[in-house]
Amino acid sequence: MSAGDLIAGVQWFFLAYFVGLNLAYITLNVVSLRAIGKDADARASFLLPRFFSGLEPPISLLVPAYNEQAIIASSIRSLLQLEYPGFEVVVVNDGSRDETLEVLKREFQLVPFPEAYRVSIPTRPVRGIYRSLAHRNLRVVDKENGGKADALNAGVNAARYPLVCAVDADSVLQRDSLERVVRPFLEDPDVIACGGTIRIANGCRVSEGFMEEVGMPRSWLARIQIVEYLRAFLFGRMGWSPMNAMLIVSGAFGLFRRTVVVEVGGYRTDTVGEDMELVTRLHLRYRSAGKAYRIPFVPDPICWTEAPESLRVLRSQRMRWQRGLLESLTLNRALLFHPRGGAPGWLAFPVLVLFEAMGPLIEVAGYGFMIATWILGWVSWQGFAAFLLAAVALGLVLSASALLLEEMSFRLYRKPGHLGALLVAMVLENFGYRQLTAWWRMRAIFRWVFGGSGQWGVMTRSAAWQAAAQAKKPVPENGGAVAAEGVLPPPTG
Amino acid sequence: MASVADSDRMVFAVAVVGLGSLALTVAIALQVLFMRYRTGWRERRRATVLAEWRPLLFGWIVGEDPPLPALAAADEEAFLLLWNHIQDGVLGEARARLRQVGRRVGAHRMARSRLERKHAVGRLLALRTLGYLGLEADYPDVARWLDDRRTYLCVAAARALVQIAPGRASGDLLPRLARRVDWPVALFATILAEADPDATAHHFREVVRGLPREPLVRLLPLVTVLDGRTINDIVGDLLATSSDAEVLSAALKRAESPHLLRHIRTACGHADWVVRTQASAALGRVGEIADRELLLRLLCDPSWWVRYRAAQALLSGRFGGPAEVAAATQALGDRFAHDILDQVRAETAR
Repeated sequence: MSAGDLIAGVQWFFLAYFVGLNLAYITLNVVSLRAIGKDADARASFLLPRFFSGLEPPISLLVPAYNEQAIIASSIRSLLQLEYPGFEVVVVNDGSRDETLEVLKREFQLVPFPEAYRVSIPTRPVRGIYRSLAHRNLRVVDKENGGKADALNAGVNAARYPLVCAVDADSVLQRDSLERVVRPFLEDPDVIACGGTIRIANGCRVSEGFMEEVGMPRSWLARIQIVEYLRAFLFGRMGWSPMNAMLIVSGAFGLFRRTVVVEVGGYRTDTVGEDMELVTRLHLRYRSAGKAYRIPFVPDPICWTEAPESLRVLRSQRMRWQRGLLESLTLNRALLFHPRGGAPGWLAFPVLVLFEAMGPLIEVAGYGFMIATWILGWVSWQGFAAFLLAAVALGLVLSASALLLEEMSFRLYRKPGHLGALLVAMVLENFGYRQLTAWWRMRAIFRWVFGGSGQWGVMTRSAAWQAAAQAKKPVPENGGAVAAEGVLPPPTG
Repeated sequence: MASVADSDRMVFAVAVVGLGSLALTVAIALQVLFMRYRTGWRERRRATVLAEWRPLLFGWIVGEDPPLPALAAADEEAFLLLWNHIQDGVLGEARARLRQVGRRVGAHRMARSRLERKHAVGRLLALRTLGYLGLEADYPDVARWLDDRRTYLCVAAARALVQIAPGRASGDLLPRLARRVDWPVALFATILAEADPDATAHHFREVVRGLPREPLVRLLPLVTVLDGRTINDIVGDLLATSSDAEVLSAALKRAESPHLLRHIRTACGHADWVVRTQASAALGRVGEIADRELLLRLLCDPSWWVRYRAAQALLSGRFGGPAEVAAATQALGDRFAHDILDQVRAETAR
């Protein structure tokens, strides 16, 4: 074989990979189009008057908190105002080194509570449990630091109700978020977990912890992430849901049956992607046991989170997500082509491995190869331009179809200017942003493979969020002090 | 070398993929823009209808008799939405007057025609409208939608049927509710609460008789909409005849009468902790002072939930004062019993 044949072979490989990747996502997109159509029907049910009978399953909201003194009080206050007949809030202070516990004690009149604490899932030692004199449905578990997953496990242990909902302290909810996300549990007894759409809060107006008005951030970085999130949720998850193959329920807001979480041993503490890992493990356990189960997706926007607006925080976030993805997949590799794996094992898992876990490597290698061969004169400028055009245009199709899905369903970005901004962001994304995130993700793969200790980025939050919430002003674009930590990940596209 | 690697075939294939994708992107973007334009037009039109009709409908509610303008076919949906929305918030005379407006404007015709169209919002509006109009003649056509596979249409039809014929609807709803796992029992409890209570009690008895375990357990929470006597009869029957843990615990959850004490006491010794948990809770609701010893035994149960419910029961006030209960617990010499009692005492403390 000559060098020319080899180069041609490599070119065909990259082309086939890009086309395969995009075909897979376009297929998901088509499934989503159908599912969104059906869901539009179901959403019409919200034309029915809303009423609670008191027979709805009560929910324990679990809020892990580590150094959240700036936002914890307003977050908990908003959670306590959710519209749902029966719920409790269990805040888990995961050994914060700041004033998180003191703020909670002061703001909610906490008193020590002699709870006969059950250890259904082992965790780091619990130092004390408090209950609020002001809100009977609020308890705080104070424990030694063990990470988010450990804190969630402590929350599961302390939960009193059959459904547990993991909520990030910085999540912004809608008053009816619980009502919406619990719907699949009411309609199907086989539902064991359920996730909803996470949207980006930057530029929106938030009042007392609730979303008041959807807006458009000024930062183009955040705008591009809006397009990314639309892709990730409206067809990334919506597409897998009808096949019961959704491998991710976002850690920012996900509802689980408590008994199921306990049964599988809770969240794993040795991964940064504990939310995805748990869901993938649930698929594996239920599939291999041949038990009936369903993990559906509610496309309604039920939770809003702040997106990074600085490249430094964005890099850190994306590298964490990539590592979380790799860990979740390797820890549950038994699901891949498992004889009873069904759609999760035979479709979703391989797609994630091929296009999300390995995707950045091939994407970066593809760009590098084409640039190198062009510089060396092995490829004509026409060939190079055609390759670039295909790479960009295939990305554009996916982003445009995500916008179409949004237009067909929720139309949250109502102003014509918002739509225009998203159309521009959809194009801009392909010139630099996409390549940069692929590069970061590739670095995360290398760091994970070669076991470097690595710096996965310390996520810090400012008090700006709370201040904005209190002042009823648009969420400030804070230059990246705030990161959406728990939302793993928006792969797809 | 370039001529091999950079073959025409390759460049052509890549360019076709690229240009094809670009064309598709443009087509999708145009579609998005068109949809946005159409939606904007509809929303403006809807706002006009609301601005015109809202004051008229409120005028009718308060007893005025303003003239009603003609309604364009394109505005019917907006009118029905508004009319139903206002109906949701009124009762009695106001509801009757709105019904009168509806009939005059032709809401019945609008609803009947929408019922046959393949449009979710239209069908839903149609069912809701027919329910509020309350014409007995529409009952069979509305009942047909109970067998639709879409849950939300069934819910809308169910509510409409209860509004049309409160005495008859539960007979059609309950057997289906037993079969359809997708029908949310919590929602139907609210719907059936508006139906005729005697008819509902009668049909409920009929349905639960001989029902297999799973639907029986699912349906039992509905007893909350029945009268006390019927609840006792049904729950008593189940406690006396069933040995299934799930059925027993579901029945115990609804045990609210001292007449059931004999069964509840027996259930306290059941092998399944879920049954013992519900039996402890039931004793807390209807137990007598003589049951204190039984609850103290349950306070030492290996299951946390049984101990918790037993402690709640003991501190409910039915079994002596807190000091008395604390002394009795102390005498048990069981650390777990003591801990759980402490917890519940702290929970109930103001």
